[in-house]
Amino acid sequence: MTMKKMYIIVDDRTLDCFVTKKIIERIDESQVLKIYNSAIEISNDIKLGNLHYEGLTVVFLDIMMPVMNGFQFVEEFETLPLNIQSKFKIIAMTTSLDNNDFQKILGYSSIIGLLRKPFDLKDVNDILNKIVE
Amino acid sequence: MEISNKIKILYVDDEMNNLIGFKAALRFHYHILIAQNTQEAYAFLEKHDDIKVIFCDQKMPDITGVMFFEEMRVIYPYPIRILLTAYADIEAVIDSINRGHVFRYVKKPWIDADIINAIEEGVKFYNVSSMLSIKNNELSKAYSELDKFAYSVSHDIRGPLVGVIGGINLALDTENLQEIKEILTLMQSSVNKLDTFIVNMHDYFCMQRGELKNVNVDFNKIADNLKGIYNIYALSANINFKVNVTQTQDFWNDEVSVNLIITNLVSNAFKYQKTDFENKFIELDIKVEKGVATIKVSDNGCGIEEKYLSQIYNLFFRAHYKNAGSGFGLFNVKSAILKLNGEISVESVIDRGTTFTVNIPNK
Repeated sequence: MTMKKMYIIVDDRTLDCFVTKKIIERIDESQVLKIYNSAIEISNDIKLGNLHYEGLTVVFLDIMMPVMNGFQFVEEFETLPLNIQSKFKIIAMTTSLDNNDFQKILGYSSIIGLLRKPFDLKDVNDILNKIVE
Repeated sequence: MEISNKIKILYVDDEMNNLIGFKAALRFHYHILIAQNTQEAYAFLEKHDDIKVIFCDQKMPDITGVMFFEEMRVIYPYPIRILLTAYADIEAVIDSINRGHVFRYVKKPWIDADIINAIEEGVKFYNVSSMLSIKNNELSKAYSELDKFAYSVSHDIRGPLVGVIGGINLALDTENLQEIKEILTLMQSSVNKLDTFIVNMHDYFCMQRGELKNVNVDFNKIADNLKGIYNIYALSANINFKVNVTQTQDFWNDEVSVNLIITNLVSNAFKYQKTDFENKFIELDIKVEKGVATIKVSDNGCGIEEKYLSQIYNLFFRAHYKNAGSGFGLFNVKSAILKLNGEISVESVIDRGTTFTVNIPNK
C-alpha cells in the first residue's frame, strides 16, 4: 500500500482554506491535512522539524498574505538543505490577474504549479496528477 | 497688516544708500530684506524660504549680479530674479535673460513704478510656477497611490470575491445542509470584510479630496457615540474600556476628520487584543486645553513589532497576520492629521500594548 499524502494549506483567508480543504478531501479521501493561516508559522515548523512526514507533502501556498507573503516564504524555503526541500511540493495560489506575477511565481524552482483563484476540483486534480507523474 | 502677510522681497546691492532708498520706498507694501553682499543674501535665502522676488545690482565688487543669479538658482530655484543695472552692458543682460538666469531687468536709477511693476509681474510668475511644482508633487503622489491601488484590487477586492465564488461552487455541489451553513457563515465574514474595505476606501477618498468643514467639536458627544458602539462588545470580550474627556473650552475643527482619527485608533485597539489575556483594557483619553486637543488611545494588547513601527502609516501596510486589516486605517488617520496640521506619535511594545498620542490644534 502506498503511503498517504500529506496536504498543507497556507492561506490567511479562512473561507479559502475551507474551500481548498473540501476540494482536496473529495479528490483524495485518505490523506493527512494541515492548515496554516500564516506563512511564518509553517516556516517555523519546517525549520524546527515539526513537519516531518515520511510520505509526499504537497503545500498549497497563497501568495498574497500579510507580514510574510508567499514569495518571502519560498525565498526562505529555498535556503534550506536540499534533503528537507525535496520533501515538499509547493503549489502556489493567487488572485492576481497579472501575467508578470505568474511569471515571477513560476520562476521559483521550488514552485511546481500555479492555481489561479477561484479554482475548482478539476483544476486541483489536474495539477496533482502532474505531480504524481 | 501683519508682516508675514506681505510679500518678501530681497534686494542685494553693495551700496548702502541704494538699499536704504529701496527699503524706504517699498517697505509699506512689501516685506523688504536687504543684503550688502552675497553672503548676507544667502543667509536670508536660507532663513526665508518664502522670498518671492530678488533684486540684485549688476555691478558689485566681488561678483556680478548675473553671476550671482546663475549660482544661487541652483540651490534656490523658486525666487524670481530681477537685475538692476546702471550700465549700458545690455549684451550681458540680454544673454542672461535668454539663458533663463534673469526674469527681467530694471534700469538704474529706478523709479518706484518700475520696481512695483516688476515685483507684481515677478510674483505672478512665482505663484504660477510654484503652484505647478506643488501640483506636480501631488500628481506623482497620486500616481504612486494609484499603483498601490491597482495592486490591492486583486488582493483586497478580488480576494474575498473569489473566496465567495469558491464557496458558492462548493455549496452547489453538496447535499449536506450543515456544510452549506458552514460555508455561508464563512462567506458572510468574507463579504463583511469586503464591505469594510470599501467603507475604508470611501474614507480614503474623503480624506484625499474632501473639503474641511469647521464646526464646534463636542468631544463628549464623540466619546458617548464610541461607548455606544463598543460597550456591549467590551463587556462580552471582557475588556475594560475607559473613556475620559476633559473639555472646558470650545474646539473648532473638521468633525469628520477628528471622528475618523479617534474611531480608527479605538477600533484598532479593540481589534489587536490578546484573546487569552485576563486584564484587558483600552483607554481613550481626550483633553482640550490651550487650543490643542490631545487624544490618547492606549491598550495592553498585541503591540507592534519595533521594525514595523516606521511603516504602519503606509497605505496597504499590515503588521499583523492574524486579523489583518484593510491597510487603510492608519494611512487615513495620518492623512487626516496632516490635513489638520496635527501630530501623531506611537509607543508600542510587542505583547505589552500600544499607545497612540495625537495633537490637533484648534482652527
